[in-house]
Amino acid sequence: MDRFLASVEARALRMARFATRRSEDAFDIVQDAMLGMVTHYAGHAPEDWPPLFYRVLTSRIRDWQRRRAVRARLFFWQVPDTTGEDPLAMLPDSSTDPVATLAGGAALQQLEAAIAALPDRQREAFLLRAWEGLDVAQTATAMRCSTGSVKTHYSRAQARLREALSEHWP
Amino acid sequence: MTERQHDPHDDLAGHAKALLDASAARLSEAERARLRAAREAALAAPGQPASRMAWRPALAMAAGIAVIGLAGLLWYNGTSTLPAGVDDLELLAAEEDLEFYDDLEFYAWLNDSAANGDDAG
Repeated sequence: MDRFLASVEARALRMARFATRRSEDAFDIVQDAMLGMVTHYAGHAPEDWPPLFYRVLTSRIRDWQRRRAVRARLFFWQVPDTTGEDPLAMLPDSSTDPVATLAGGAALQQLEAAIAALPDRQREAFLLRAWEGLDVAQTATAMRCSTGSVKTHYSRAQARLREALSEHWP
Repeated sequence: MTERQHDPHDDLAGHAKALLDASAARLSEAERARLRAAREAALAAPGQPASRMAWRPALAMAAGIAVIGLAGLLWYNGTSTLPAGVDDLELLAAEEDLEFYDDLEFYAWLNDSAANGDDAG
């Protein structure tokens, strides 16, 4: 379980950041997801861990989004709390590898902006299928939807990304 | 791992994966240390499903007070039905993880799959 969590934690953090755009909340979500994974699913077969972990992660993200939306509705008179929001959270850390940044930084920024602009379900489907490498059935488990819905969300995400990136990517 | 036939979109997916992998590999040492600490904490505390989100108790208390206030207002106005939005307050005040409610069907399916020896993957 330790090796598995170590293998997914960086991607999980990026996924949480895509969804929340808040670094601190993203860290909280990932730690909650790890705790939930260990608590509920450590006894399952290791081959089941990837879809189960991302199911917990997407649930935690959804919880965060719902609570944020409800809080905004209930306390509408308050000025929106933008502290902690980090518009730069999605940008690559160019300080660590300037040479690589020259080659791929612009492309990554364009990609990340396009992914962040996707509807939540399309973004989840794309990241789980294209980045994490889950198959359709595993992605359906992680997203708690049908395999047909996964295919639809993934297809639409690809179309949107290709449209958004067509000017920059070959 | 992939069951997709060759598709122009695969180029997009492959290129995106390569860029995202490179990005994830460039996390700062501080971020890596923080993730490592979170992982170790999770592994060291099995059976403790409590969330570390510290703002939950305060928000739950506020939601509870709001529910009481709404109930009082309705009683004062002589109505017996709660307006839309009270479900939201109950959601906020719930001690259980929100996913608990959504996952009841999933847990039942998981138990059935285990009992039948199905491959959950």
